[in-house]
Amino acid sequence: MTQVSETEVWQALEGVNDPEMPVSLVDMGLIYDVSVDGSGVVEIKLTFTSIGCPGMDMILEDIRGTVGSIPGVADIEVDVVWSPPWTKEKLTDRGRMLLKAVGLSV
Amino acid sequence: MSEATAKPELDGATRLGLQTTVIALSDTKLLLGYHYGEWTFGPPAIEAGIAACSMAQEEFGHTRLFNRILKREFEVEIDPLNDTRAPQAFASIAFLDSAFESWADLVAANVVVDQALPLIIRAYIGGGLYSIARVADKMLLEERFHYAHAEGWVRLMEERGGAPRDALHDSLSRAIRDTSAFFGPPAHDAALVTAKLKNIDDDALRQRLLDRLANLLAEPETVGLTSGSQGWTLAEPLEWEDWDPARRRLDGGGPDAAILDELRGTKNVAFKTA
Repeated sequence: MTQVSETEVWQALEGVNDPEMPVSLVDMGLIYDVSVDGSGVVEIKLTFTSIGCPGMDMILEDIRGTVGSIPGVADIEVDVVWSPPWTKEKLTDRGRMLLKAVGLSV
Repeated sequence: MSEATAKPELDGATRLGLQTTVIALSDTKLLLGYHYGEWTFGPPAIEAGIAACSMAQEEFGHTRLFNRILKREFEVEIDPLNDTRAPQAFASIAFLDSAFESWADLVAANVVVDQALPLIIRAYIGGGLYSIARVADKMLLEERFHYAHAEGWVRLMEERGGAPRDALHDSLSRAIRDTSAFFGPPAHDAALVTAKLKNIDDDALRQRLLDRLANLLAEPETVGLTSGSQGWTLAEPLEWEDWDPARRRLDGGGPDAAILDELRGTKNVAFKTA
């Protein structure tokens, strides 16, 4: 059985964009942690920019679809956490640059 | 979506007290979100409409989280779109029962109702119900912006004087009485404090809210407050004989049926996706 690494999961998540911004979930700073156990179960801790985010289900579906397509992934457990709360300080440098490029003041 | 929880061992009455509190928070935030949404159109400034729309989104989001807690911790299922409860079963603050007549009502709800709920939520941080504590940070962060909006409008309408200020005072008077009732009679939540589920009782939280409101106003007496040895209180004290602990209200009313119809999408049942 193919062993999945945390790096592979992070790389896959870099391909999942926030539906409202041209920036990946990773560069938005929404992914708090990724872990993979020996049986291929991936656990992802993430948050959202707002509790009322209307794109929650869509984002979770995109994550499951993208990460689920990595060979060796047996299951995906997503834990939505609200602490520490997301703020724009969690943006990566790349995320900040991309958002500035579309005219957002961050 | 998994959410770790800690379920403290509670006796029946304490557990019920906690459950009714979470239902009251959910119901009130649902109605508050409705009114914010209602005032996306017709505000005195387009920016105010944008703010109202944004606050509506956040209140609906908070309702959704509280409903998840209800389902997971108390096996109570509330789905706003499929809710069949009668208006008289809602545990929301009475000030939100009907359509707001003017922007003054919106500002009063923003500065009174919307500031009362964070006080209650904050009291549960560090308590035994982990599922509330783990969402509180983000909720309270979002509520800080609601307060900034409310404070700005109160100060503006106070400064302007005349009819805007009079209308605000009338709305504040009603919002303050209804919200004071929501906090309940003294010691009604003693079991929750004793069980260390919350760190301060509702009577003290009500006092905190009234003091904060009084500090915002040039003449707090104009909204039905009076200064006493413990701080600001209602000039006409509430009578608690008819207080319903399950609904946290003094009257037998409830949200207007028309409002519930809109929240439930009654006219659009045929288009429901789930």
